[in-house]
Amino acid sequence: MKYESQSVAKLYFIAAIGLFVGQIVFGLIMGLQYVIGDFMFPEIPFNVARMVHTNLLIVWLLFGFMGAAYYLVPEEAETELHSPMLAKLMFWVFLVAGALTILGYLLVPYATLAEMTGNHLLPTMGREFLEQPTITKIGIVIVALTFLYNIAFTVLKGRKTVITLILLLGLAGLAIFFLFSFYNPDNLVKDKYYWWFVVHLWVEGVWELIMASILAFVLIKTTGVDREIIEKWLYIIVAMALITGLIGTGHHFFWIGAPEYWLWWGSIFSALEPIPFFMMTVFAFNMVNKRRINHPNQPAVLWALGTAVMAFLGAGVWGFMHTLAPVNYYTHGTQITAAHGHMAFYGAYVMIVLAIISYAMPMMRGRKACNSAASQIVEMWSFWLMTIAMVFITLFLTGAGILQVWLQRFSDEPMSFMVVQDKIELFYWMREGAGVVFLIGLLLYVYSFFVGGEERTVEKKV
Amino acid sequence: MEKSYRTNNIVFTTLVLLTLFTWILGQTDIIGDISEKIDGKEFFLILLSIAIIKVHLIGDFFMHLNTVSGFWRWIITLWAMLTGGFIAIPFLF
Amino acid sequence: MYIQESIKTKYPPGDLALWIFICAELLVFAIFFAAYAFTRASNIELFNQYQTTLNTDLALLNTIALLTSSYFVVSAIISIKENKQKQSTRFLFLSIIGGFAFLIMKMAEYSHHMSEGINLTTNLFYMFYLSLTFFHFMHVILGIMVLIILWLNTRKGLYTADNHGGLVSGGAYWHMVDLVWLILFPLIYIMR
Repeated sequence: MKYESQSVAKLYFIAAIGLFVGQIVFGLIMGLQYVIGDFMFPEIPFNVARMVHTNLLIVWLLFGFMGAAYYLVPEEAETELHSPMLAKLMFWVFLVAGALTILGYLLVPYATLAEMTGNHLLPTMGREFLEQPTITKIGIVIVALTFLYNIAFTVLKGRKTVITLILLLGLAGLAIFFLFSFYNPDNLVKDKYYWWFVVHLWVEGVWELIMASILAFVLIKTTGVDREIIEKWLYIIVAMALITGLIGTGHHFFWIGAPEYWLWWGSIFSALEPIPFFMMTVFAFNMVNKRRINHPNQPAVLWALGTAVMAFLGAGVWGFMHTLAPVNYYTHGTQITAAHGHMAFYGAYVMIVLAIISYAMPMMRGRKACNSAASQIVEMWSFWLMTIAMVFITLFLTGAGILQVWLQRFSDEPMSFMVVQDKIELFYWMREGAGVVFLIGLLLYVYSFFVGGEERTVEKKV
Repeated sequence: MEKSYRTNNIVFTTLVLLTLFTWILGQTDIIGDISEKIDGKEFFLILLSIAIIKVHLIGDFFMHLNTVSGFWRWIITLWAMLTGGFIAIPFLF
Repeated sequence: MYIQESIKTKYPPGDLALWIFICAELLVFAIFFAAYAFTRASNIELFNQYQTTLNTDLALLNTIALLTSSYFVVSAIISIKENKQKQSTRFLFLSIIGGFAFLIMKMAEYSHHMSEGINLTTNLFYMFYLSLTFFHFMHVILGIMVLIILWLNTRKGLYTADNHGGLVSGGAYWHMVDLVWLILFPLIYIMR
């Protein structure tokens, strides 16, 4: 760690991992509710568990991104953070607001929560993933703006690199697109437009920029490859991600009442969304092959390579599978979507946050470069357990989805939704099993922080 | 260097002539209804072939791929042929 | 480009990363073209009918504008190889004019269509025609911006006989814009 103020990232990373554990626990509860419908009812109904599962994911990823920015921006800009105090203050504001919101979801019925938080004054609640009470949304905006101010001023006073530039662009986009969540038109078609302007433009637009810049940072640090080469790749990946991602929004407009040409625009441009992810995979492996140092932090390199591969599979391949309008006509809103969502989020965003945590955390905890060999072995076990478990979750959900499409929509005598859900029960059980393995992997990951021992040292590649 | 300019001029002139030819093929009032003279499928093939040749010329000379060997030498021509091929399928069958 | 005719390189001249980007762009257009052709197959009458409403003469002039502009970019590179910066700058300026000529003619076409109340939802043929040409139009704008940067750099004397990789890369992007139009022109304006 080169700058004192980088250490504020530690708070953010710890919170991120804590919330990650919470997310997985609720995932398991919900997974069980797929097969045992009244499990934990009425304390935690399915809709609440789902809300907590997805909201925790978003919040902990945001914590991860902010932590990553606080860690890498000072190092890239070669200066201390503009205001570490503000960063710490905002951490607590965000954490408390997040915790209160989750408690609100769990303790009172959603409608009561809406009433309590004055939703009628500025109605923004009730939309999938954007369920947060209006007051929480305002809090998110304040935290995001303060964070942006802090990061931007750090970049401005120090060295400007392509990595910080793209990270800043991504973070600014993240904040700006969130503003669409405050507009809640009565017209259902418009409502869907604005909803996708947040949801899609986040995960298939600006978040990709954040991911690419964090990946580039970790690769520069762990491979010692020339910055120039990495920056060039970054440019074309980002250009491709923006072209395909922005117009690719159209693949959500197929059936919401939008004009017909979206069937074409959406299909063609979103079919190309795998390209930037593919480039990222080629890029990551290329850089590691060209490495000039053998960095002793092996798990960090593993996470970085892992994120490139899994993002391509989850976001790229699994996304492509159902993005063409004629296919999506049958698969829309089935378990295929769930399969894609799980692997894409894990591959693209969970793993990139874990990569930067894995790289930065040892140094923030006072080590020179990395954890002990014993700790690294545990962490790599957790990598494989979680990743393989996620592959199986995805495969089981895909199986469930294909069967669901067949029985419910494609066959000559389509069955009703609930009848089909019964028929695909076996897949849900297997998915739950894979989920348990995932939780074990995650707990091992947490445990790896507490494994002591001798530290490894940096070797120059011969 | 004189040679470079000359090659450049020749390539450019060829491209313009091929373009004019393409345009004339589309002028039914000048050459009459094309289907009376040649089969529609031949017409499509001629047009696509001209387009592929033009793309090849640009790739080879303007984009300097004639100084490259191996896979990249053919990247632009390959693109034109694949695209032309895909376009040809519904036009011909 | 012709000096080292005997020595062939493995990678195309200019920046390889940019070439990968060019390939990705070409792929997008290829998919769009194929989609047009396949959709036309099941709507032949509709496509043939509305294709005749397009202005083929303007399209011809547009093709020549792009070709001429590309020709000047190549001339600019030949000049820089002889270290004639002034001449190269002039050629680049002419190529920018060519780009703008394309934009003006295309806008005239668009305004004609707009005055007739044609938009993306009018019918399937116009949907493809407008989408494809407009997507290309945006690339022409981006390409002109690239050319302007190259022109400014050349004027400042940033490129020399030994060092003009940027010029070659930027030129390649502009030629790509040209390539796409060379397929688009017969496909959308002539083939019926």
